[in-house]
Amino acid sequence: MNRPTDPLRQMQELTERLREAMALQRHRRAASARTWQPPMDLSATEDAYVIVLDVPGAAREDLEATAEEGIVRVRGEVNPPEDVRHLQRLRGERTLGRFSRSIRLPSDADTTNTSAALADGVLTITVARRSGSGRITIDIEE
Amino acid sequence: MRKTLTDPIEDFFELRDRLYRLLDESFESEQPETAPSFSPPVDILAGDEQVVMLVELPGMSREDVSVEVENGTVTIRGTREGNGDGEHYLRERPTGEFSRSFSLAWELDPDSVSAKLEEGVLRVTVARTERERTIEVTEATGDE
Repeated sequence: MNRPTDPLRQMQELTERLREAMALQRHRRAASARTWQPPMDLSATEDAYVIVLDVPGAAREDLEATAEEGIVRVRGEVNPPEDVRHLQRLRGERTLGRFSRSIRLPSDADTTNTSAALADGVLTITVARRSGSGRITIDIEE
Repeated sequence: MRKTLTDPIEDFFELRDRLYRLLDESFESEQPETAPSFSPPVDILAGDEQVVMLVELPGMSREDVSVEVENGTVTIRGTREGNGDGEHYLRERPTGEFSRSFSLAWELDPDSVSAKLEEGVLRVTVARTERERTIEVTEATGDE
C-alpha cells in the first residue's frame, strides 16, 4: 500500500500540497489586512441571538468582546504554544496572530444584556432579544 | 474555460474541486465513504527526537477524533457536528467529516503517539526512531 508509485498516495500528497498552497494564500491575505477573521455562525432563538466563533488556540486573556448599539465586536490573538516555538516548522497552515470580527445585529437585539463563554476554542456570545420585538402598535385616529 | 479573466485563487479552488471529483471517481470502489467535507488547518513542527502536529479542531471532543500512525504516515480523522438550535442567519463554521494524512521523512514509533486536545487544538506528538547518524570515515590502509 505504501509503494512510491501508489496513485492514491500520490493524489493524497498532491491534495495536501494544494491545501498548503491555499493556506499560504490565506496567510498572505491576512498579512495584508493585518488581522484575520474567524468563521462565525449566527442563529436566533425566541429570546436571544447566538454568535459562535471558532478561535482555536486563543487563550481567554487574549480575547476581548464588546457590544454597543447593536454591534458586537470580538478581538483577539492566537499565538503558537511556547514549548514548540523552537522547533522547525515543516508545515504552517494555521492562521496565527491578531484577529477581529464584528457583526451588526437586528434592531431587537439588546446589547446591554449579553453573556460570553469560551470552551474548547469556541467562543459563544449570547445577546438577548427584546420581548415583543420592540414593536409598538400606533393607534390611528379617525 | 468559463472565465475570461483568471483569478489564481479561483483556479486553485477549481483545481481542488476537480481533484476531489477525480479521487471520488477513481477510487469509488475502494473508498465507498464520502469525500472529506472540510480540511482543518495543520501545523507540523519537528525536533530532533519528536514530531509535533497541531490540528485546529474547535468544539470537538477526544472521542470525535482518531489518530493513526503507520509506516511513517500519520492520519487524523474525525467528524465535527454542527450546532443546531434556532434559525441560522450565518453558518461559516465548517462541519462534517475530515481526514488528513501526512507522510513524514523519518521513521516514527507508532507506540509513542500521544494526542491531547486543548483550547480546540489537537496536539499529536510522535517520537522519531531514526536519528541522524554520523558515518565514520576511516582511512584506507591499502598497500598499493
